[in-house]
Amino acid sequence: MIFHGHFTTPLCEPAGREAGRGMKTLCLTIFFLLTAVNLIARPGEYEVKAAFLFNFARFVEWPAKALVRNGDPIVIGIVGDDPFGDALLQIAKEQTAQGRKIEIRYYKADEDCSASHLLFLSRSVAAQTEEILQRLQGRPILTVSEKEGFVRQGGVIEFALVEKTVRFDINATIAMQVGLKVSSKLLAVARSVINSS
Amino acid sequence: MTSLVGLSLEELTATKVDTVYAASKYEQKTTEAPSSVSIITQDEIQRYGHRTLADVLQSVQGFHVSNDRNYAFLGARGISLGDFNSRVLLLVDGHRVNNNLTDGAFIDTAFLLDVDLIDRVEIIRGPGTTVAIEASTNLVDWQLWLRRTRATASLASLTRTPPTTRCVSTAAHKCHELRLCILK
Repeated sequence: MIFHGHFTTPLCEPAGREAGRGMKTLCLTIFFLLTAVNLIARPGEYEVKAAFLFNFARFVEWPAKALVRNGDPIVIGIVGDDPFGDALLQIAKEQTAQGRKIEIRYYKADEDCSASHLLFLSRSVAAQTEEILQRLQGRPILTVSEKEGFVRQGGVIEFALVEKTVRFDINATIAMQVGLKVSSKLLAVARSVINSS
Repeated sequence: MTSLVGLSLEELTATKVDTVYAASKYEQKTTEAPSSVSIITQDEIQRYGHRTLADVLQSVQGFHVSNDRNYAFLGARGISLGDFNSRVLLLVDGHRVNNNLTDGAFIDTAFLLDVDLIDRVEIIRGPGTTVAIEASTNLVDWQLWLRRTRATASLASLTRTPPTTRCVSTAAHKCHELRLCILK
């Protein structure tokens, strides 16, 4: 259309210009749209991690003694500073896992957190990790942390950042020992699975 | 938010995230940091096409870079002191890389690493009030974070360089951060 405008006689030129302008506007619009798409913010690290916690709650089966009644909620405990903000609270409000409501509880490092099903150990309690794990030993609690070496220390799931994506390792041996059944779906997407049996 | 919940596990593991400072090994809340901190990420460096650290710093409010066609000189808050950036503490991966001769920080093409290797630059300004009282205690702190893979690649090239850069190579083998500090 633009070229057509340029090569026509002077009489036709205004129409050609008009078409050229229309094209320009169109190009600009497309350009801005593309830029806008480019600039859409990536989700935050902890928004994705919150979504993962929710998926852990969906794809891990707790033993009957941990969830006695039908209406019992799945309790996600956060030990130490909460890095998730609203992300996790919103999930808890809107979603259910395995037909159960999700409840979020917050604990300090030295508090008794054994009433939870899934326990996230925040970075702020990294130094007390061993002590907390020892206190929970043998209980059917899915422990999750970002601390490097957590699964080797006796934790069940360890988050890791790989090339700006959130991945996780699973210690299936510990999970089995404490009576947690980890779905094969989780095991399949895990970065690595420790399984000594 | 709800869209993230709707993703499958495979999609979630493939989702690129914006990492936060807290994800690094050194953790400090910005509210607890001793001064105001500016962070420039690798994305920004790529998007603006910065080619040297001087370019990066020039883009930060309160910093200006001058050049005598030999070296680039950094000034902060409208003041440059006319020295070889020796009041700037430059840390790469937590290791000091100011040179041994003048104690200066190279921010131009004399800087040890290609800016492409930088994951993030953190600029920590010193407390403003101390500028008036004692200029030498005004701290500006930068930190550059290197990706692990890239750090390994840079290690190979660094081993061929003179021993003044050895602090960088020791850092590159383990951590994935590069870190720079400025003493002003």
